[in-house]
Amino acid sequence: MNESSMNESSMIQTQLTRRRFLRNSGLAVAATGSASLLHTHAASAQDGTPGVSAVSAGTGNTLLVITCRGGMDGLSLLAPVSFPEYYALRPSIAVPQQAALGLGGARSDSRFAFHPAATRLCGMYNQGSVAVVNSAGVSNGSRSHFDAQSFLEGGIVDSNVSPTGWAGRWMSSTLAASDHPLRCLAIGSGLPASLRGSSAVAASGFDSLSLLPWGPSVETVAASTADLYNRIGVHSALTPWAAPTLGTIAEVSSLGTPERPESFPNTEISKNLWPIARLLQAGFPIEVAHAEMHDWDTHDAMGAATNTSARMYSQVSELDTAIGAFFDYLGSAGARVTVVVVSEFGRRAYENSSGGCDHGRAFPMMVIGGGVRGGVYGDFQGLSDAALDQGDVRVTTDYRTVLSELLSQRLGASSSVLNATFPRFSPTSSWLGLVSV
Amino acid sequence: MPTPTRRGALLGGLTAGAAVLASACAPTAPDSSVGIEARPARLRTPPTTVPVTVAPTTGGPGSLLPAWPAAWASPSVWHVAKRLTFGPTPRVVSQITAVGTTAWIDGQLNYMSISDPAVGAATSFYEWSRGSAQEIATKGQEWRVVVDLPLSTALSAVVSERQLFERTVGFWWDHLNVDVNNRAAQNHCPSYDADVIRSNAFGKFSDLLMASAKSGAMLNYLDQESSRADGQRVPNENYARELMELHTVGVNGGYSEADVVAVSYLFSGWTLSNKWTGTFAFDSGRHALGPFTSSATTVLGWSRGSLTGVAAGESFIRHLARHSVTAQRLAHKLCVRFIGEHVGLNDAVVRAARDVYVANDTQIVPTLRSILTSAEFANSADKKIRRPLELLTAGLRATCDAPFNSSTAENTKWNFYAILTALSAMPHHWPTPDGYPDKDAAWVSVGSMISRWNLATLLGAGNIPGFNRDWSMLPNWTSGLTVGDWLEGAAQRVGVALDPAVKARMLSSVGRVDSTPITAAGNRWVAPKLLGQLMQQPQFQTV
Repeated sequence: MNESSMNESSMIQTQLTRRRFLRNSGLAVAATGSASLLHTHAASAQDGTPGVSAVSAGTGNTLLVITCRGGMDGLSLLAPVSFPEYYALRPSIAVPQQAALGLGGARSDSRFAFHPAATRLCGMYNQGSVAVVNSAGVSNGSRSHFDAQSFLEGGIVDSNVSPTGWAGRWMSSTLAASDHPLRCLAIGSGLPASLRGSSAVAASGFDSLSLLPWGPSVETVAASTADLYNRIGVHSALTPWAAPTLGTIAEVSSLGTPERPESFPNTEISKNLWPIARLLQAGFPIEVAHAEMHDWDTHDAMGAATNTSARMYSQVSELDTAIGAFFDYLGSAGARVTVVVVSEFGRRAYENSSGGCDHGRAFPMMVIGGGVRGGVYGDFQGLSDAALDQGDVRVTTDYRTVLSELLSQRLGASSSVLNATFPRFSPTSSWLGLVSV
Repeated sequence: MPTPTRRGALLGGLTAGAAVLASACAPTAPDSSVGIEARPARLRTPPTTVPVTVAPTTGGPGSLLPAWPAAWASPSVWHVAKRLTFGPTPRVVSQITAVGTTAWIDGQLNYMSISDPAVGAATSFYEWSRGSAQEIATKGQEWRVVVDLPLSTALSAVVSERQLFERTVGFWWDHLNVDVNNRAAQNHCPSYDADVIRSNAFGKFSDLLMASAKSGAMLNYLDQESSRADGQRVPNENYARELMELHTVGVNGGYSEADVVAVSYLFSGWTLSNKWTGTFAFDSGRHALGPFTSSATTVLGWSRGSLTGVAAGESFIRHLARHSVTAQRLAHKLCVRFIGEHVGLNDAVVRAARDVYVANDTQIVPTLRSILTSAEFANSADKKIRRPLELLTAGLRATCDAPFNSSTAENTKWNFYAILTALSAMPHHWPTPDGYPDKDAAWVSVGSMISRWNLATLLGAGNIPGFNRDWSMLPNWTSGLTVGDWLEGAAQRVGVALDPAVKARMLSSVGRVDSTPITAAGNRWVAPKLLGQLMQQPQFQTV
């Protein structure tokens, strides 16, 4: 084992020492055969850990990050319809002016318009609850998926080998606020790199948050199995997980077996947002949540923007529907949840010979829901040759500026927490004003 | 990266067992682990005073894990049996014990001499796992490739006698990944498996790379098929970028963004005679040399000289395969796969393998042999996390005899598919071109721990459809043993050493003590539960 992975491991261990209700009471009691202390409410009562109905000691707000993997074509999602170059650069895939959904309401803006499939986002924009930061992105110019995702999720743009993620560092620098096992939750295909270095819960859905009903009980696992995971000699990638796993099983079991409602269709992003919505509605104090959506790497055959069966249309539609269903389900509880949509990069301003676009740079970062001051933000410099960065929309706002503002204004992050979250980065002197406290 | 995939649409026949299995065993999203540069940087966070675990060696110095019983096969035999197969069976363990580890490895590397009838018999049920794109298209129902090819691969992992070959095939699929869900690549994936990966897995990397570059699967997956540079057209960069970033020199391997654009011209016109059914074709009408028009243009030490057309691209691919940076990166990736991610890019074992690779003109077998016979390999027991597929195959290989019951093949197929889907353990379903990650931490989180423990419960119960529990190979219930004796025997079977305290707690969970005699049939129900608990333990979770 090298030094860095030991440090990473010890960081997680530090967090776990806070889980006294599991390590000292839960596991020990379970080992002697009494199950009651694994139960949420008993655990809450015993040492003040927030339980199902409690609000976290923090702000009670949630930041939900949706990562669009592959490089989302921002010039389709939020089309620069007033720029004539747009139509010259994209003869077959540009969003036609007459089909685009205009930005109305108090912050109407005729320069840009939503993709025809983004009906819910446009509706929320018109009600003032969507802020778009144009020309946002990773300030390191990599056009590699894997480098760019590493920068995006690592929160460090001068190294692509960060062993921890920005959200993981936020979590470890704010442990005093809450040690609830579901404080940080990722639904998708595993733990995203942004949450590395933390004991965040990563699951694909409710199925991976419960033991088989006919298998050994959580008390049996705790007694005969989980104890072994804490021993010296066990692989360091396994050691940290037994305790938070048992805690999560105990917490989630209070919900029974939730069924996905029809409003969340059978798409990756809807299936990923549904458990987050259910757990938030039940009052679990989730502070940072993560959901992912793949297949944005549209090198070919994006299709006409008005073609409802074309690839780009269905990508935008699936994202739009899921976000709409999410806020519908939460109702008034949605006022505490702020969604931010990110991608590793946008796509090239001009289309290629395959009817798609290659890897680009900036994308419009969307901030939606709780506390949002709607409108179009950011410095979009246009699509002329001079304005573009090697054919791509130039990055003028570092994505960390936006994330810092959301962490500060919505989750109450102090400047020292922000320094730990985004080391060697100073946000612009003042916030963009995207959200209110 | 691929065109849209629509996973899950095929999931018709979920069994009760699979439905409750979680699908969170999936590794984390693509990250920096794809390249030689993946060695983690130092953390800037101050070290804490919390004690950290030491290198995991079962029962080794400093370990508080139970000691490895002297009566069992030696730890070095067990290590080879775990790491170089898809799970030890009693027969493999005795084979290695009989001939010694090095001779057994050499026998596995000489894979054509190993007869392997079980693979043909088992995989013959998967009709859509074999055939050219034309044959698949003619057969119809092309979507069945998405089911049959991964199942054929997973089943081969369970039943094949050529275990090291199957392991290496898995490595190359990850290295030159194509997602079988990609609609355009789908028809071509069976021949990609047979004619690109399997034909070259123990051959020369330069041949493997060339075959992949000209395969219908890769040409479609990375959009090269539609790329053209004639007229004012801008060629598609996708393949050119991943060829250098993923397949050869790596992201910091010494090329620029302008080089990516130049190389995309080099491959313009590399296409298929038919997108869905055809084979490689070079269309000079779509080709332009772009920046390589000047014969002085150099990328990664290569310039075209007098070569033009398809010959220029072929020359560049051979150059990349033999490039010293590729040699070191491939040697390192093989070490990470077969030894562990603690191996650094410049470690002696990597340099030695790199030199063998270069001296043998990119031959894979001698390169692999150099790694597998190294001291670093010998000292790496239990330093890797078992992937979910490996957990499943190891459980099946340890506890089932005729591991595939062909009499229920169609039904079994769907059940097996559902379980692999639920575990996110499906071969050839990784969506991005970097392949499943070779990073231990990527495979473990709260959700995946629950899935892993649930899978152990299913395996313990013998509840994997189509795979018959071999009760006779487990200790005998009627021989006058105690339940404690039986548990020791089962532990040996799955390679989990027990200490007395854990053994007592396990027995207590099923209402027994060590000395409870096996007398009544009523004792038998505890066996599946105890077996499941054994497979939940850390030693079974690592390899």
